[in-house]
Amino acid sequence: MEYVVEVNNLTHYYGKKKVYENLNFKIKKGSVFGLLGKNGTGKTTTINILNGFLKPKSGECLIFGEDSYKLSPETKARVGFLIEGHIQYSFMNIIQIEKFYSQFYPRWKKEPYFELMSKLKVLPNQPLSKMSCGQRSQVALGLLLAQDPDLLILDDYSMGLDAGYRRLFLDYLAEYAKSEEKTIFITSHIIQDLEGFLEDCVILDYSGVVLTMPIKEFKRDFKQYRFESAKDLSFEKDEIVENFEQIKNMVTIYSFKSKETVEKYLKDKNINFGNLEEVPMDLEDAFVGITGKY
Amino acid sequence: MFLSLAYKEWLKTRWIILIAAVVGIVSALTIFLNLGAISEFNDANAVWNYVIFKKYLFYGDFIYIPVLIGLALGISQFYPEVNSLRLKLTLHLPLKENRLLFYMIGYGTIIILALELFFAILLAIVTAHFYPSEIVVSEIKTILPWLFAGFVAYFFVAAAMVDPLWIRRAVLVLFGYATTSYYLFADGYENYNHSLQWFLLIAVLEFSLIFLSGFRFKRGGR
Repeated sequence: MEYVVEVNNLTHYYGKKKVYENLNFKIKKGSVFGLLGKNGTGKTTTINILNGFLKPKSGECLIFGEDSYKLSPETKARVGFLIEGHIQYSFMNIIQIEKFYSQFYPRWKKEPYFELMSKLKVLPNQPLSKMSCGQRSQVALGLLLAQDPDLLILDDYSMGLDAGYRRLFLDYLAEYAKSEEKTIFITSHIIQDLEGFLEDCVILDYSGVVLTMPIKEFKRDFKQYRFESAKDLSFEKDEIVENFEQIKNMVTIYSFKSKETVEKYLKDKNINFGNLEEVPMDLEDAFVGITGKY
Repeated sequence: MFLSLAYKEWLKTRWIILIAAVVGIVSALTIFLNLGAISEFNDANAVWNYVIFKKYLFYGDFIYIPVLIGLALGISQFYPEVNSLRLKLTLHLPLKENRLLFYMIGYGTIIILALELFFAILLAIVTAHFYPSEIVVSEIKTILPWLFAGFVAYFFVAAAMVDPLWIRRAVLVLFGYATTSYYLFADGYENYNHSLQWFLLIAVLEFSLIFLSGFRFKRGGR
């Protein structure tokens, strides 16, 4: 198996504040990998380490086999990087920015860039600073596609975008990944958009890594069960219960186990419950289920 | 690659360069008109007395122009880079990070050199119109520390802007202010002749400040 990114025992602290300890994941060539987590759980920290803009306290992060903190120019040319908020050189216009970047990348393909630009209602001499966030996102996307990188690292592509632009962004990315076996590493705080797009994911929480697994397995195996209980209940996280919540007499348990196993678990704990049922979830429900609402 | 980066730097700084050139021309024109007026309304002995014995620096107003240009160029070049952390885009370009910074600071150094050369030639032409060549040579030697100050201010402001921590930025600004002040005394002709080489050496050494700030930026100060 060829891995484009390998993160081994990555640990980082800001001062005494732990971001995470022993983060491990590998990204297969040609896959779409999501780093999911609430705000402040370390997504951008991981992106910064991956791009060599932060030295981790310990552990290693390899991109195409090279230490991400010391990437060679050749490897940097193979990595496309989208900064959170679609930041680009706002003092340039769409012609100038293409002219600038094209000189750095040997595989530069201007056609996809100008194809995207032709759909934008912007003037050729209009600087990026006078464009909407959605338009800037298309410029950033066009530049990434023109660079033709083998690995795309996208830090919260959805920030500031309305539903139409988010969909457009992902449609282009999906086409790009599918047609040329490119690898995509993506973070986003809008989870529902990524359903059907991601293949593998890591979910981060304030305590560190919650989960590392293929999205299909996560959606298939992670269950939400509801039942009624007259008492106030409390569960510790264990091999059955991943998370739980109670609103008045309605209790919800999140688990990777079957309904029968959960039922037996409740009975073994002498909990009086009624109407135990499995409630279907989409990816966002599952994400909230495993990380909690707070 | 340098030309591509120079293109980006040019887009950021072209208006500042144009304004600097206009300021230089206006300043030279003002000196020309002042000298014309002095020559018109005083006899030759009085003019000579002012310039030689009373050490009247008729180009004294020029003293802060190189520093202001260094500051303006540094800010116009590096503020767009550090605003929203665009420097990450630049440092992600497929070149070694130090080479990228070297090209950026090299561009600014060449621009300041060109502008200061232009100003020095203008001043020399204006002065040569009224005075003998000895005065022109003396004038160039006198303004050399002021010209070096333009580079010093530029190197410090560039390093301060790239540094990721505000406390280090403040320290760099304070050191920059103190160092630049040493270049800007205007109490006579050629008073710094004995130490010009040291002023030059210090200015050249400050070229490397940005690499320390760049290292800290990459290491992740924020």
